[in-house]
Amino acid sequence: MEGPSMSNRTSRLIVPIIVISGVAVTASATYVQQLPDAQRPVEPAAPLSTATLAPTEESLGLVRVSYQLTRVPGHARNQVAVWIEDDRGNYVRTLFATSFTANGGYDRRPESLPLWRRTSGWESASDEEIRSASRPAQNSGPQTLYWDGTDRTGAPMRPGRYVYRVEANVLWEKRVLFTGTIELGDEPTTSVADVAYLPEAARDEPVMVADVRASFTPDEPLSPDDVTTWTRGS
Amino acid sequence: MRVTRERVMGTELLTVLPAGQAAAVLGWLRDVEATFSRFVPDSDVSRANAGAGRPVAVSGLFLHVLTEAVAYQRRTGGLFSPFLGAELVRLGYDRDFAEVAEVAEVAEVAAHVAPPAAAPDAAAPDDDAAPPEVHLDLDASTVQLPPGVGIDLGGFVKGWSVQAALDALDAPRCLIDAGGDLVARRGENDPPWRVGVEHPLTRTALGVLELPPAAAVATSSVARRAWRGTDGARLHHIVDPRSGQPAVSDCLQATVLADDLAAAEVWATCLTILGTTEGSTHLAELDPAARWLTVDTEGAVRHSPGLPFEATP
Repeated sequence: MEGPSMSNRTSRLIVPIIVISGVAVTASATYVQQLPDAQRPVEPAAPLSTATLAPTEESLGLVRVSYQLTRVPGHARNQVAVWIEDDRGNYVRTLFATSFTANGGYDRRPESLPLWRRTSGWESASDEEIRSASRPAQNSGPQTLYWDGTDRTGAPMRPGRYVYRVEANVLWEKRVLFTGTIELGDEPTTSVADVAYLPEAARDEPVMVADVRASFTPDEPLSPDDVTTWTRGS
Repeated sequence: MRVTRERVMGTELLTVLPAGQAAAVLGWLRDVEATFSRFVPDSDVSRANAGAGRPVAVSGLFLHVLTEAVAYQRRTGGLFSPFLGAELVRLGYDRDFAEVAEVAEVAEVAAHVAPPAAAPDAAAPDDDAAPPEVHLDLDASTVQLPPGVGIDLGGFVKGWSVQAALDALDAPRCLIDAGGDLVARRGENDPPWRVGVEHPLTRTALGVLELPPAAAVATSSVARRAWRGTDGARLHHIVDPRSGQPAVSDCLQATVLADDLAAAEVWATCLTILGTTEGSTHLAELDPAARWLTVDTEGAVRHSPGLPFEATP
């Protein structure tokens, strides 16, 4: 249907002609890969290592893990994994893993993210886990990843202290490992991670990951009797 | 159910989602922001706008959304345009709005004064010259912009990506609100989501929308995202593609209820640009199922028949 024609143009506006060539073959849903997919069959959940933790019915809130990334040119670098453990060191879930390693690149480069692979048992990860955590290498700049307090199967965890880790290959086997803890409960919390160089010689490589920190904000209850939100122009 | 809040894509995001889905939605919207923000130096939009007439390699996601935006541009006869990036920069919206000094004087909003006419300058296009061409090559995954043309997909991609997130989720009852533009879903027999509509002048409650089982709501307002130009004039972010200037009509705010948030964003923008009378007629032609509510410069509130709206007494 034709709409109003372009009129009243001033002399300053450039109205271009749009020329589209080639064939669009991709549907919108293709781009939303990290979201849970209702069309995919649910794979049997791996047994949780946190058996002593009774999950809550709802997630507790939102954890943001943020860091500054500076990509380093060259081969065998720029692999990053970010994951959560409970306070006993049991794996909970992966928030991000560079797609090369997450999709089996460790067969060709065994030095890639060994601690994360061992902790998560990634070689036996489900397709759904790989799909949700695997993403292309991040560009340089500030990064923020989210954890909503659920484990690898999507079940909510109970309040308590959790560990977040960021492992990165800075050159072949040389890695940095950031480790911090964050408390999930009724109050907002923040923390800053400590860094370890693996081995110590990794300290001499260019800084790839820095300023790793986390914050937690508890979710708010939803009142059934009031308006949920407002529309007001944005 | 519980409410999660976060700031992403330059706006306040609110989600009401089952456990395990809020983080995935936020991660998706962060990825979209990294691709489409005009204020991220290596985003696809920034690189395309800096292409200086050369083809620039961009992601499939970028081309997909831009192609959809171009379809809306054609459908609206050009009243919606994804190619107003250079105009926004020229008007002063050249950085994250959190860094722009916002003006919200009620009297000025109500007066809705037209900005001064732009004076021709050295960059003015030659009316006798052939229009420049934008080339989108879907096979080579490149975009080529002529000098003086910039892409801005701000509100459109926000609506598109929030709708895509909802469509990918299987939650029977959920809501995602990106700064007042929102999608919501519920079962047929569930109580409706209640969404307040704010008055653009008083910023108090106009009333409440009770949403149908699947709904998208977008509001376009000249009272928001406004700043001062270099000459002191009040400017805002709803740019009229016919003039390259902030839109001037009798419509201060338009809210549209539709079945898709990208569409609702476009319809609300067009309604604001055209004004309450011509805009509502135009919308009825484009999307007869869409419902609308407007507030004009006199403060009068009108809405379409069938809008599930309860006015505040």
